[in-house]
Amino acid sequence: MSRKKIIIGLVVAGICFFIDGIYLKAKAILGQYLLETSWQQTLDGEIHVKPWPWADTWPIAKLVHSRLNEHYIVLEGATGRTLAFAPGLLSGSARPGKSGHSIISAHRTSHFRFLQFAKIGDIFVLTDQAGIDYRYKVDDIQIVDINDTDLIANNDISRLTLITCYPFEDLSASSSKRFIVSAILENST
Amino acid sequence: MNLSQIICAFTLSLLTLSVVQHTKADTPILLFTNDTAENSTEATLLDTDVNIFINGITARVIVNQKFKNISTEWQEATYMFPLPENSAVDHMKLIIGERIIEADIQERQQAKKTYIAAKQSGKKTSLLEQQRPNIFTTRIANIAPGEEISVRIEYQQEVAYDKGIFQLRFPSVVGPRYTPIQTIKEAAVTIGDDGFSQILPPGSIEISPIIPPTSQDKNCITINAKINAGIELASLESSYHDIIKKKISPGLWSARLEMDDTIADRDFVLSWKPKLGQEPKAAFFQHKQGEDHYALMMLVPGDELFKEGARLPKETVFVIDTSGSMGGASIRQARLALELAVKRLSVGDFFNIIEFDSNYTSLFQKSRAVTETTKQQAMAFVRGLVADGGTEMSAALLASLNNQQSLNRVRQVIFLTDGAIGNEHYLFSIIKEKLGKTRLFTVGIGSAPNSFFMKKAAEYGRGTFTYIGKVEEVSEKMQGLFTKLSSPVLTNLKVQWPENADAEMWPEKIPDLYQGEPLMIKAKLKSPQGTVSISGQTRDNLWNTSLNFSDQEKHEGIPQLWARQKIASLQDSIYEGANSGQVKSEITALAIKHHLVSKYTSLVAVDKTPVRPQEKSLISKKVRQNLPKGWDHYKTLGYPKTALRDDLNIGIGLLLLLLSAFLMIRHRGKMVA
Repeated sequence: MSRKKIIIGLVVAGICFFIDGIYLKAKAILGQYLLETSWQQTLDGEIHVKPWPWADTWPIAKLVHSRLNEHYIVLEGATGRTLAFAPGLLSGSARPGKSGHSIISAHRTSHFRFLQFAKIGDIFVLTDQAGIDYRYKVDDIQIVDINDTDLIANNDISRLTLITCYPFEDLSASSSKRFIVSAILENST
Repeated sequence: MNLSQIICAFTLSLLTLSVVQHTKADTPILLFTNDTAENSTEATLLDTDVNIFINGITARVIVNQKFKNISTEWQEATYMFPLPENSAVDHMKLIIGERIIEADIQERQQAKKTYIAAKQSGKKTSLLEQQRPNIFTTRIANIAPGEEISVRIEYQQEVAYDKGIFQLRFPSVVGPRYTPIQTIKEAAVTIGDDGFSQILPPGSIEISPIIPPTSQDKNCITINAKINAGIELASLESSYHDIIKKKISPGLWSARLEMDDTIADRDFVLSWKPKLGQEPKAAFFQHKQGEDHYALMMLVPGDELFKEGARLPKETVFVIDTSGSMGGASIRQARLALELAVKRLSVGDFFNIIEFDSNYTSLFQKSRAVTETTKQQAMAFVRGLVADGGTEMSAALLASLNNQQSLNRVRQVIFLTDGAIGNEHYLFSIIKEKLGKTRLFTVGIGSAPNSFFMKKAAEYGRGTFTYIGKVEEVSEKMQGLFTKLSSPVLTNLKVQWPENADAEMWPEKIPDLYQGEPLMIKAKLKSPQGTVSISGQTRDNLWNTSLNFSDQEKHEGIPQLWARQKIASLQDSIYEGANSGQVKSEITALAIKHHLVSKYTSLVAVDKTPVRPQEKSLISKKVRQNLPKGWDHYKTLGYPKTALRDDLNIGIGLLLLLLSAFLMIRHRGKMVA
């Protein structure tokens, strides 16, 4: 086998992997820009504004952590397709501002990478579709096994739970641990 | 090995790694992928032994779950299993050899605390929790290596009775089919491309690991039933299992599963039919508990009531949701259902089809007579339906209810949708205001994320709600709907209890009845004597009847059935705006009084003395269960997937580029040298 061919092969493979990785990153970053418009329309009173015509989801809230200067538009549903672009509010969990448990998850390599720096006492602000802000104060941070779903099972108290994969440094595409930040509703303004 | 071989091997392994990651990333969920296949020798096994005692229209069921720890470690086992929706679970016993420990009913969080405390102190303990009205879990802690432990669960349920046939169902496996049906509050379960939901609503269940297809261990079930029908029986059948049956007397039969090692992978359904002419038309059972009398009343309106006078021409308007959320399997189901319906239209009747997404389009401007030509046009229209756009339901709904041209027609609107809308209350108000003589039947398609909307809409529309979960069900479910559409309905049902009875009746609002369906009422009475009168009406007939009741035989379990019905009704009242905190405390008090497992109460049993030495650790295992018959091995539910391979791929890419740069430099160096 000629060495030249090997090198060319390696370069091509390298570029492919690199682009695939960058593509996923780009989706995560660009997604947020694209969502900004449909979020504005949502705030203006439209419902179920699809960010692009073939989308099967729509912006449902905005999540802000001011200490770390992180802000994300949250999409309805936490399917693989949704999470590529933005954090997703679990279908079936409480809508922001409604009583009950709101659960948002996102990828550890993109939107929720910052969660590792969250601290007890931090404030997350969740804005609902009507533009009303809800303040949640972090009162618990835990790492759990994926089989242990007790933490998200409780639907009685108005809480916000943020979920991402753990450990953050792990490169693989699957994980059996989840990093869970739990916050309790303070008051609505 | 030379350099190029090394590089090839290295590249290949990187590629393989990436492919593996990729496949994993595409599988929707990963709850039990690891502990199903490998650790089969360590798992706790389970056999289920079911004893069913049928007494008239109620049944007492005793379920024995046998756990065996075949490992060398102390174990905790968690087992999830289904029970009938209307089951009132009132007892659990933990059976350790000869000893029996009776469980207490406690508030859910309290029960969990009791269990965990006992578990940590090394005592044998078990906990029974309700995850959904029809899905429960048992947990048993501190099973010694090699030990066998049983948990005995008892519940009371009413027997189904329709068109002269009694039926009792024992579900034996929790399958993925349970996930889409339930919705919590107004939120929706999203179903992925593969037809499974990847996320469960909170307050929801975990699915047990599924036994991999290669495994020899299967959860086995034995079932024994004793049927004290109270009337002479013509036949006794089991739909999906072979049974051995014995007639002890004309009204007393027994049945058991033929195979001792039957695998628990499908529901057990037992049906029995009274001798011709012996079909019961009414029943009244009661039981005294404390100061109160509890009654279960059944009444079957006569068939002659459902005979109509002159048959009026029918006008059927189909409204089909073609919004984006109906894409994929849903629109296929809807098209199939519509085609079936169009085929069944009879000449002399009238029909129309309205489709809506962001706007609505109708097949004809107004309803037209059924002819071969119009049917053909309808078929072509249906086949051309595609799902895209938004969900503007109100305009289509108004259109279907507005054009009420002729009062001399029976008018039915059949609404096929997944109900992905957020303005339920506005739509309800349209239905209430515009319904007139029309009847609205809703057909939930696909994942039925908003079955609350569809059930309620059908209730306001005085029709029925039909749920179609998968394509294979379309024909059967639509058949059921057609039968209901073509038969008149008994509405406006009222039950008048004697004044001094001081009755508290559940359900408060009696649902409409179709031919053959019984009226089933549970009531708490101060005094068990007098006459109860019942009235209702069909389009052509008024119905009035009365029932004398007096101190009849003692019928255990009725108080639990009454309480279970009240709990279900209270739970529903949350959807109608009742305060959820208040409902919770009401249900908790009621469930504790009647010793019932509910959403807010659990049964917990604790042994007195610790058995597990403190230095030994406890291993927790989920008890694996069989897949429902016909289901493929699948990945099940849990947390959303939140890992991606982006960083990994960027890393691999950079590494490969670096490697090639290095090779290139070496290559050049050699050439120069």
